[in-house]
Amino acid sequence: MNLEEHKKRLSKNPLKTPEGYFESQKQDLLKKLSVTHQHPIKQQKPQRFFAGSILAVAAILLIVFTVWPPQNQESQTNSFTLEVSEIPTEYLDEDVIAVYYEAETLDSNSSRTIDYLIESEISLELIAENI
Amino acid sequence: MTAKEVENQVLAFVESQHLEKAIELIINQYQKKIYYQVRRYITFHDEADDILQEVFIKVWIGLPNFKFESALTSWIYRITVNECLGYIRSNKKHLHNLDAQAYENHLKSDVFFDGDEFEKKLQSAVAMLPEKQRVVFIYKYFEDLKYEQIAVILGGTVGSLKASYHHAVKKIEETLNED
Repeated sequence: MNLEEHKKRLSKNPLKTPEGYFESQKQDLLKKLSVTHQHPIKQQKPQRFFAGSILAVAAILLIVFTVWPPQNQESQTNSFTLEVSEIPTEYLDEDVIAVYYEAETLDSNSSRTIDYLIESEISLELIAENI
Repeated sequence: MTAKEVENQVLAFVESQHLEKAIELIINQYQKKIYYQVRRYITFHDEADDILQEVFIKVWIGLPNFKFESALTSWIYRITVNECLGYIRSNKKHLHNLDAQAYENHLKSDVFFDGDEFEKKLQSAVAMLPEKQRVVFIYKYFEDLKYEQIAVILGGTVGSLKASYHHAVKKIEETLNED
């Protein structure tokens, strides 16, 4: 017998199953699917879009804060926001201020003094010898 | 109920989130068909039983994401083929990887195979075919599908499927005529 002849009498199925197999298999399968393979509830599109947007924003914020960490505003000080208590105490001592002021005045006047001496033709060497 | 009617009903259940009803309908409609397809690939009942469960678990998992752009039947058949071939590939000691004589001897002792000598030779000859030829032969010869339908399930052109079937028939007839 060749394949063509065989195919004509193919209605006789040689593959057998245990008795009641299909019914019991169906019940087992349905039980298995409902118990061990709980199906995740399919989200509607708007919900998925919303969840996706939140995740995207969170990811962007994470990257931004990682690259440019926020600086503590209170630790940033400048001359306009200095409190008296923040100035070192030696700068508030009046004697120190006076010495500093005198030094500054002398220094700024020294160049004018030298100009005066030159104009008056007073010998700088002579002054130096007398000092 | 025709395949198209079943598909429409399943689609309605999926859209209304009644997935349990959808899978029950699919099992009712396809259980026997898939089982006998698997038996043609794997031959032995216990293994076929395991694979059948795996097929329906995969259908269950994939159902919410199935777009119904291709036919439901083609999708389920594709899962079946992949499960069967995956099973044989992952079981190197499976009977398909033995020779035809050893395979036939196993068939003789199988209580769930009730075929004559010709049936046994045919079943073992099919089992010895290369993968693609085996799949095409089972769909064409036992399931009586058209080449166009097989092409949707397996991919490839009708011409290549015809060639595969032709080679498969030639090899099987050679095996049957050996004695």
